[in-house]
Amino acid sequence: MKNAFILLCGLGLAACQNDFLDLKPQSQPNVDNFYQTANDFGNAVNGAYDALQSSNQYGGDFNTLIEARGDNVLDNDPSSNAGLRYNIDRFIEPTTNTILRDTWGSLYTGINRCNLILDKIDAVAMDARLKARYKGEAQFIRALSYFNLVRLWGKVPLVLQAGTTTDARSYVRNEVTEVYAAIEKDLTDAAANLPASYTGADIGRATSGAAKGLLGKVYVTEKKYAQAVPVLREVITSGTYRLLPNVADVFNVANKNNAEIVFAVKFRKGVGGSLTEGHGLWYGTNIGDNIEPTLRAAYPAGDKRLPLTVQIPVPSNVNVVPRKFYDEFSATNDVGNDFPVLRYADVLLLYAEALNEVEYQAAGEAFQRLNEVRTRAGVATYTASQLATKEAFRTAVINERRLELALENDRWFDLVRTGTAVDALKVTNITVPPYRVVYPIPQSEIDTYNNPTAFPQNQGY
Amino acid sequence: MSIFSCKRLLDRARQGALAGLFVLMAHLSYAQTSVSGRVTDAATGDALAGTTVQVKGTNVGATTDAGGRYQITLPSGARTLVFSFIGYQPNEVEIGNRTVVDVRLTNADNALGEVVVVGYGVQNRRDITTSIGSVKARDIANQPVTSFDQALVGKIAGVQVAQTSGAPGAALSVRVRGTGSISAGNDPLYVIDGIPLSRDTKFATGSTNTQFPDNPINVLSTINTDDIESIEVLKDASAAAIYGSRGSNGVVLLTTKHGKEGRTTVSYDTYVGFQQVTKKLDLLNAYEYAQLNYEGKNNAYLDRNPNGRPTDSNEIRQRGVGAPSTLIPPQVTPYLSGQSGLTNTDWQDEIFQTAPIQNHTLSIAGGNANVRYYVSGNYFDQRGVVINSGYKRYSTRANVDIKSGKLSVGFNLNPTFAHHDLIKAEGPYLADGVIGLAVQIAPIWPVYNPDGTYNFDANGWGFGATSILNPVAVAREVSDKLDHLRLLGNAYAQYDIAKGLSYRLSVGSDINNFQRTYYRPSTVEIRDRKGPSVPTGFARNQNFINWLVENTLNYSRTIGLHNLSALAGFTAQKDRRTSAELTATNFPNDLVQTLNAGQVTAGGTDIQEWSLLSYLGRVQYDYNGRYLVSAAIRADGSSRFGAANRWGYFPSVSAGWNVSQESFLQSQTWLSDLKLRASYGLTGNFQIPNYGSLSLLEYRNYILGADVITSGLAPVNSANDKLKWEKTAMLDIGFDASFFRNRLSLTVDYYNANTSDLLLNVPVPRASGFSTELQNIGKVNNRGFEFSLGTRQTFGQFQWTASANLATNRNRVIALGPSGDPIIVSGGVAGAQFITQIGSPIGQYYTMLVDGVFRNQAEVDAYPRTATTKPGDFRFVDVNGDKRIDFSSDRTVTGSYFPKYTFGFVNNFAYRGFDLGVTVQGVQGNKIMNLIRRYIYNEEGNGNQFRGALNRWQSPDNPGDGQHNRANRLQTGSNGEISTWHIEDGSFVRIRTISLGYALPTTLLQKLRMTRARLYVTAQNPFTFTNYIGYNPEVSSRPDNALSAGEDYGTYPLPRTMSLGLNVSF
Repeated sequence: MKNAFILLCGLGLAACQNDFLDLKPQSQPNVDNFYQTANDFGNAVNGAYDALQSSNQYGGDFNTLIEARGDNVLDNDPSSNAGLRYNIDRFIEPTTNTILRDTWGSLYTGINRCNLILDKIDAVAMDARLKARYKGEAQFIRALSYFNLVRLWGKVPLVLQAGTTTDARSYVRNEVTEVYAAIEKDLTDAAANLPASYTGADIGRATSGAAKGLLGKVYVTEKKYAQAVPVLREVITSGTYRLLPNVADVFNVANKNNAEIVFAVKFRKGVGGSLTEGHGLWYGTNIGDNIEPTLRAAYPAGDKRLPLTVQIPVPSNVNVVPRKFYDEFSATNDVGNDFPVLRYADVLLLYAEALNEVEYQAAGEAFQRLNEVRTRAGVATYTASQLATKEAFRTAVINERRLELALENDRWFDLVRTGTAVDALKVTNITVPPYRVVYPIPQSEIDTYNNPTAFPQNQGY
Repeated sequence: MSIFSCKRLLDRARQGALAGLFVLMAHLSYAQTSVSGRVTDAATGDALAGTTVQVKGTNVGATTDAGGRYQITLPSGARTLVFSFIGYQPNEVEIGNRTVVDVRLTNADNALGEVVVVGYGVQNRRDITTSIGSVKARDIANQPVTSFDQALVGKIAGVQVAQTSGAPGAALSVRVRGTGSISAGNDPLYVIDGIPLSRDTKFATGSTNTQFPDNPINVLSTINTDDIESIEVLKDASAAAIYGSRGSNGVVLLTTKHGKEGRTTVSYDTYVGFQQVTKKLDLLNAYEYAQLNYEGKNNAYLDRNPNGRPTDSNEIRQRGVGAPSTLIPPQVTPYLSGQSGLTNTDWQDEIFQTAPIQNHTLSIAGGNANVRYYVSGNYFDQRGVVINSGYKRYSTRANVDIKSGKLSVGFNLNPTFAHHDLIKAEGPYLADGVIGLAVQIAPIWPVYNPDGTYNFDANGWGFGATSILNPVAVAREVSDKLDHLRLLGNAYAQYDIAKGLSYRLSVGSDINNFQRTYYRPSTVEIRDRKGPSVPTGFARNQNFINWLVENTLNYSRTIGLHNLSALAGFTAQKDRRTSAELTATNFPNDLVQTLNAGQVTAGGTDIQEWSLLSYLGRVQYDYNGRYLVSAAIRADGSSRFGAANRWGYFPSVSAGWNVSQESFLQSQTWLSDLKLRASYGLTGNFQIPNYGSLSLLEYRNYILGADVITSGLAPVNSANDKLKWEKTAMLDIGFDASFFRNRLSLTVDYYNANTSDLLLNVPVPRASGFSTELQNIGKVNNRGFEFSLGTRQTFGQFQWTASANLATNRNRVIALGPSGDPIIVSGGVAGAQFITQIGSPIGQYYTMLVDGVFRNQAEVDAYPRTATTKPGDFRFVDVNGDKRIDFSSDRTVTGSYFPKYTFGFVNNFAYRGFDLGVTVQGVQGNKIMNLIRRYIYNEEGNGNQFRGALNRWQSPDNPGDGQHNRANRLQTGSNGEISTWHIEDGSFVRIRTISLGYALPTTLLQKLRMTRARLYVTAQNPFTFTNYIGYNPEVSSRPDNALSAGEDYGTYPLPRTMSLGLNVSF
């Protein structure tokens, strides 16, 4: 029958040519027939979250870029992958380092997914609350991605609408202030669009609390402490979040989505196949301890957080892993800890820091919030006489962040925003050239734009 | 066609078949007469001794004597004599009333009258104006090879056939006139009996590892070599342009045997033999290994504790340094004292075996004026030289051609079942690569424990050692099977509409089913995890249905001295692939290995399609065979092309001048023939992704709630509606000449091919959300010379025929991407870089340059170095002269996988019934990136090492040969960075085949009622001359990736095969 059809076509019926030649993929959706229903956008939003799971982001490379770069973690493997990670730890990474390139790319991949959603969703009719939520989620993920980009690289292209690859050639490196303004706007909008909480299989999506908490963190990073105080206070007084009595429980893989988690990137081990949803051991090693001794030494005696940094063996495996991210391997050889992007202890410490920066108050609310975290860790609280000045309090709260949030991808950013990176790394015998507080723009991007005026390399590289 | 005409056709066929049977029986009774004569070479006039003369349709025959004379007693009714002689075209002569029949036979090797298959037709060799390489059945028969392409090695100038893997049934790399494409594939188009095959089946089996893919299987190996009549390779664009958008990598036309008019011939062809690896790597034994391990540990320890001593106990080391890599494992200590009788395993011996190979083909062919048929059955079984690997084939072929008046119909069916016992040979130890494991695992470990279980002590050894799995366990216990069922066939009907004008309808299909099942049992540990593993398995099923309908009109006419022929056609082809895959794990035990026993963790099905509509036309004209011109065009429309570029047009022209026919050359005696040729044409490469022009979405799921997988989708590429074929414009100029009454022939070709609109994944700003976009951009030039020289010499009964070919190809990138930036990709490891840059060949190695080792501290101090370099470490060259060593800016081009030239040399000697054939293949000037050296030539003492490691630097006073770095478990000076240390010359000369045969004389055959009986022995790959230290200098871990070809990261060694064969016909 079909052959007869082709024979007829051969006799000059040009019309059937188009049918014969116009084959659309049957096993894969394409952009031309997507972004049309509420369900499409639901899938698109989930796809945007997926970018955060990437091994180039929270799935792995952030641990190198943000934690190993700081003074908590030591990469002691110069030979693996020709020193790919080691070089970052030692501040000798070349501009061609592929982690830099891939992380940059992964962050923009996530941003593009958000941009496509935000560009197209207004034209589609759907439940107004659902539409607001989808927009809020996309805004939150986009803001988080830009927040990471701007902290890692400084001036980066600010892309808020999906463009073609041709459009992308005319992007420039926007000012840091422009990027932060966009982040603030996205998070403000997201806080308005997102619900305070979810139920069932929606738990884990970005909430208004997550948007506000992240906005507070953005403000603190920008040193806009007066603006940080009210949004962080809202998160604290909302009553949605609390410190778990036992700090180890926060990280227990059997206790995901607990009351201390404000936003986490979620994983699941054992899915296997090409769509793996797990990750490798975070900070796992089989060639010796990779936690800086200075970190462990910084914990006061009896600190319940110290054991979380201790490397413990994984069953049937030669690797050890810090207890904070302990999980047993699945049959498909991965683990499934969630990565805590923002948790209540972080919010409390940010809040304490912001209050102190606005105005030091002996034994004020800042002390109370800081001490909540210390009490839970089982160590002595700070008194006003111990921290008698704004500077002393600042040092204490930053140190507390190191102890509380060790290995959670905060330390390097904390060092940079407080201007203490060079001094802190000196303690671990690493000399940091001052220009290296931001990473070099990946060489691939410098090459692609090939325009030193609109798209220059960071100074010093 | 109506039912009635079908019935009539069948009636005629039946009559035809009966007529055929009648002819078979016709030799029962006659009167006797006699005939005699002399057989000579048509070109030289030399007598041809040993020619078989046979009365057609009977067993009656004779053989010519030294003077070429014969005499034969004819049975009554004898009408025709058949003269045949090896290397000559058989000739059938009507006896008529003659008593003397003298015959001149034409040498087949440079037979200008020989018929050559071209696209959609045949042509006389004399009339061909394009560049076509041709190989006949006798040139490839009887070699112990899995598939015919292996037999093409070294046979045709400009056709480089590289056997990159020795695994039975593994794909070869075939390149016609270089590498024109960077990303769209460089395999030629294979056309089997008129059916252009889809390249997609090559990758149907998928891989067990995405980073280190398995070598693809060779789907061509379903074709029984004994069934092949001829193979033609269309080399220039003008010859290939009739295949339009699929012609730019050259076209291989394969024609299978058909029945011939005459008595039924039953043939049995067989060989049996055994295979062994052509080479074993020269590695350290356990004692040498232990010494190196010890030295490496000490150097690592002393680097960290300069006050330490090599004699320090592990307790002191533990306290002083702590790094496990500095501790001496108790397992090596006994070896250091030279204690005898310790385990000393040669792991290569453990995974290699002497493996049998056998092939049997039984065929029956015959026919009469109306019906011709050919039926064959084949069984082929090749066990691999690596344990637990092999390939088996059961195939049959049946074809019938029926002619009835103006109508001819026929069909050709080739069902095959093939079974592959696969083994993971490619990839390093970390990818379960059996070869990589076997060369790296230390010889101090036994294969088995005393209780008979596999020894896995090298997995999780500790002491900072890399975990290595037991290669014997991986090879033997991992089950990886592939069943391939194929039905390749076509049918045609041809009707002669008027004199010289005929219409042909041809339908064909290539249906392939692949089923791959993989099971990794609990008895094979997982790296770094001790104890029984959790079994995993997968099952993949791929179905390909490819169908083709062709309508062609042929016209030919001779008016006086003007000869004209024309072809017009319309064809449609569609390929549909459906696949399904399931992955399972958590099998409770290894008793049941099908997936129902485990928990299915992933699964899916997929459909892929492409379609191609074509219009084609060709006109050929010649004046008295002296001036020849030809022009062709094909228009291809394909679903693969973007909506804005759906149709492509591929024209070509060619012209030839048979100069030797001109009167001014007629008087020359030394020149027998001379034809000048020139051609120009456009071809394309449509091997682009099926849906590459669209922005596709893929599942990108996320986890929510209580670990719930929540489906997500995200675009994975940007859209490009202008996406189209790659385009090659090739100019070919050449001549065919023969001298001294055709005793010597020479063909020379020069070609210049410009490939443009190359498909490249062009880097785009990642801020677009994508890292690359598929665009038609970039140009590559290939140009080269091809020489083929042939000779035939007869000295009485001794004959020598030889052909030699040599080809050069220069590959040069002309344009890339919008910025023209080089494309730099990494191979099996990050530092193994390949650069594709304008002005240079595709995919050159781009690495550090090593200039020996630093012999002492003074040398270290005097030269730029890495921060950790110590004496005994590599001296990297400061290429950019900035006085520091930087692994990004001090890289340079360090070689190319492309050879400077390739050659082949085929020799055949015949004396009476004996024949001796020798084929030599040579590839010169290519380099190999031997990444296996990363592990087994790094002096770390972590895994086993090449024996050359004994030449290592040990101290300033004992610096070794100045090339090998010092032993050190924890490398200083970045010695492991990929550099010229890992790059080797891959030039080689290989004796590909030596074959010695003896054919029984005709007189004896007649008594045995046989028409042919030949016994022979063959040695395949007996000798290879090369400096390459790996297994096979033809290796390429990713043969289908032009950007990073030439890497050796573990490969299946080539077998050396000795076989004994027999050809008999009745």
